[in-house]
Amino acid sequence: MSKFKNQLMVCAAVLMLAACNKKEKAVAPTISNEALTTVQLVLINTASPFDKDTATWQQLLDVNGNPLPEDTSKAILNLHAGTTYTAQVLMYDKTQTPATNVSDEIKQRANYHLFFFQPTPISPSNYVISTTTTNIPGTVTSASGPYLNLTVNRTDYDTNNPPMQVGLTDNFVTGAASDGHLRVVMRHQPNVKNGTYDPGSSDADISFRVHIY
Amino acid sequence: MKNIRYTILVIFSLFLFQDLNAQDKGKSFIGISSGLAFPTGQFAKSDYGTFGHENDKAGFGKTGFNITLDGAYYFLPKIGWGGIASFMDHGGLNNSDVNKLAAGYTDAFGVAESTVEAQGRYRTINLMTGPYLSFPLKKFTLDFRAVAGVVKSLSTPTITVTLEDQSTFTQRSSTAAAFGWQAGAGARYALSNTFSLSLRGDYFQTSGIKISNDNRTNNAGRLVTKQPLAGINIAIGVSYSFRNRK
Repeated sequence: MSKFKNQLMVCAAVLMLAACNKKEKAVAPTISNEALTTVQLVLINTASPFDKDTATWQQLLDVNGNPLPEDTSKAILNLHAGTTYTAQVLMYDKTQTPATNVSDEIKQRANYHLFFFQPTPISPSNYVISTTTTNIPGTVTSASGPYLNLTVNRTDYDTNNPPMQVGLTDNFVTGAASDGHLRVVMRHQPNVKNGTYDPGSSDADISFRVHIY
Repeated sequence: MKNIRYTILVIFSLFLFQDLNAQDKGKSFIGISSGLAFPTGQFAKSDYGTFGHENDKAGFGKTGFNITLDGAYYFLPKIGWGGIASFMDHGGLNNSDVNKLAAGYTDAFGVAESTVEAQGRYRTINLMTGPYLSFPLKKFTLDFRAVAGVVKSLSTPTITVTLEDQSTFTQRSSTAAAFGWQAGAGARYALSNTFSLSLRGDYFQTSGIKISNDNRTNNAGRLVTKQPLAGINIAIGVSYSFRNRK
């Protein structure tokens, strides 16, 4: 009988050990990340599909992976006044051969990426921060101008519930002839995307010259 | 497959319609048993999935244990109605599991790193009822049962994910209940007129218990909202048989 008791106690001990409530923790760093070396804005005039303008910003890496100086020689948009353009943001990793289309991956991961487009100089009256405008908080406005007469609206949406804008495709609407800059920021907002600029971090923050004529 | 079904049907028929005498009648009984609980199917899988094809059903369940109380009342010589009350433990996530989850979330959210913490175990109580068939063969009694009822979760693992120190979300422990069913067979060996040793095997399944999540802002990465449970229990125990009425 005492042997049976001992066996029962061993069984009970095994069960209790098996039922212990251990906390497990692991940290997993990313294995590899694409380098975002090239950003292109491709604009097509909605009234004249052959009227196409492409601006390219590029920063390649040296053989050691260190960034070379920015190449902004082609980072200029020449747009007609009073015109609406459909715009597409294309991003490449040219450290790969052949170059990788990063914007395809951004599209797959649209639920936590959001683009902002900030024309400058901008009038305080046009500087509206909301979950649908593309303005960047903290941008200095100008009371007197002259302003860059450009408005950007995102046209694509992610698959969040409710869907939120992304910005890989957009509408660019120009006003009267003017000159300025367009700052383009891609925000990476893992599980914090809410339509605003603040959460997350910037994966890209670049600038294009804009000439409206 | 057809042959197997036919053979089973024939064996069942032979048992059911064989000449009966008083000693062969199934005796109403109650019993207690305990043994191993093996998760099966998606519940047993330790799989995050791949980007865009995350496995939201994988349970990371482990071999645990079960304790079962059951009994049946025989209103016909071999056919009775019984019930089962069982406790099952299917373990929790181990270090390999949380590493898989962390790697998956790192990729899913495109972050430099993610941290996954997991604590708690799958523990359920099953309360089920259904028909029992028993076939006494001298000192042995073969039992077959099919029961259905409630699977009540006492706990499921709590999983907390932190993305690059920017966002933390949690898969909470669930105490939800769901419909489940169980089917099994066993044998009892009579030690005396009333006490028997029992060996039993059962398969149980439920379509899933509801899981809630905190702070899931964006639709990305593995998201478990319903955890299917399934498994096989193997147990040994003792049972007490009531005397048949003359």
